[in-house]
Amino acid sequence: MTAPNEPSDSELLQSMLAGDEDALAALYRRRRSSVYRFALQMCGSQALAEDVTQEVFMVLIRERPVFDPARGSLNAFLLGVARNHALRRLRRERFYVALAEDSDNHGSTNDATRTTGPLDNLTRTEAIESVRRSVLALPERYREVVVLCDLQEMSYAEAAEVLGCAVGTVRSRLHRARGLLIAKLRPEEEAEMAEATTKSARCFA
Amino acid sequence: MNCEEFELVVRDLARSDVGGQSFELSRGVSEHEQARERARIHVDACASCAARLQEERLLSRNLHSLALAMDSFEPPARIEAELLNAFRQNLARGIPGGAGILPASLIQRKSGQDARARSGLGVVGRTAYWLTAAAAVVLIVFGIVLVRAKLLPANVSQPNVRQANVNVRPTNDVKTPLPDSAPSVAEPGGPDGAKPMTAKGLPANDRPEIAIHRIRRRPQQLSRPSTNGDVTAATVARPTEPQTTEPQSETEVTTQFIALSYVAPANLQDGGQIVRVELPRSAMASFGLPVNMDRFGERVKADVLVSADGFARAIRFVQ
Repeated sequence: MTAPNEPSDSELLQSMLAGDEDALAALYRRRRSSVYRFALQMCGSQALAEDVTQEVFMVLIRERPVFDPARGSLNAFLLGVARNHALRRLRRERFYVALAEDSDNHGSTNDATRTTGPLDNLTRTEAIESVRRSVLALPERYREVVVLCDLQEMSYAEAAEVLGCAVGTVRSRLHRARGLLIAKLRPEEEAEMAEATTKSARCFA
Repeated sequence: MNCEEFELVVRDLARSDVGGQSFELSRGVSEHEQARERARIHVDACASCAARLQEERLLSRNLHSLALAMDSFEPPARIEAELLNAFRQNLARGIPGGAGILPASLIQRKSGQDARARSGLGVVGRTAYWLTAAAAVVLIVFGIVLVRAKLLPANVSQPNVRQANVNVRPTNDVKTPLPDSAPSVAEPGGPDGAKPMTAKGLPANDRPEIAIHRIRRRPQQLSRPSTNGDVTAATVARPTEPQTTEPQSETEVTTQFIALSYVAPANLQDGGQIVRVELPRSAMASFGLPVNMDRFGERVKADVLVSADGFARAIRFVQ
């Protein structure tokens, strides 16, 4: 969100394209978090997220894209570029096996949450880590809607703008993605019980 | 509200419980409140939907915690420094500036560039993409042609070059002794006084052996004898006929070829013809074949093997 007296994203972009370095810095500081977090949540690797973030803003600088405010917000535009770059990087990186150094990066969520609480939060931290891994294990098409709608807290319409698809598509993918996440996170014995209960007691009256 | 309607609002309900905004911003606030209230009433009455809501709440809470945990994550400062450095370099080269947000008329023209920028594909990437696609198409076409080229000769050669064993056997009235160069056709009561031998060297009975073949009714051109010089295994070829599948009714039952006179392999080197004729049924008796006396007056079809020199060399009867 921008304050009333602050320039809008479009104005900053225009200034940046006119050669204003401060506009680029302001635009970057305003949008870097969402782009970086989106890339991190999509890729699960800090190194990849940093690369994607840099590439997204380099697109603004180098290729000078034509941003149309009528078609959506700059944030959605940047996240759309970030999404495409992240997917490309993920497809390129799938042939490589993560080394121990990378696994340290994967555990960065743990580090971040541990600093906020004592050992009593260990269970909670483990749950969060489990959720993070489950999200990363989702197929890309489901992962991106979970990241946008649940982690970035966007509406269906905003997510559809980023993904360039229909709102109904986002809704159905999110429904499927959350179902997969619930199934992944549910303990086995509970899963069996819940499945039996759902099958026997579902009412449509 | 029933369970299906509840399924449509359960995610919003769970999200609102953890303090998030609604997924459906297009709905009004009062509409949201009404839907939630009806969902809560339904949950009180439906145990499975209550369990479903609990699951969604737990998931929303966990996802919200994950989002909060990652809120503090920021890209390192070096990225900003590198971006500003790149911006300065571009500025020094005179690249940035001027364009800004284009007027609407130009936006449509530039939409292709926009899409490329969003997809991260530059001109080189698109060129490589299309080159790869073209190469793939060429490979597929080449593969199809190769497969067809391999399959076609086998399919075509079967009907065009038809192998038929022409087993030429001497009759009892052939008295000419065979020279050493034609050992395959034995004469009855040969030089060694043994029993007449068939083309394959087996002893022949007094009555010629009747071998039944099913052949196709086609005009045939004798092209060459068999490779081992055996007169009895001549090859009949039809070089130019198209490949057709003939019905079963066109098949015929024939005897083996019965030699009419001495046949040397050299006589068949130049090819020959098989001529379809009709003979009195009594002609079968002259070759030692059994004749149905009830049909004695009828005619019978026969194939006569005529060599290149115009002499009839062998005959077979067709049923």
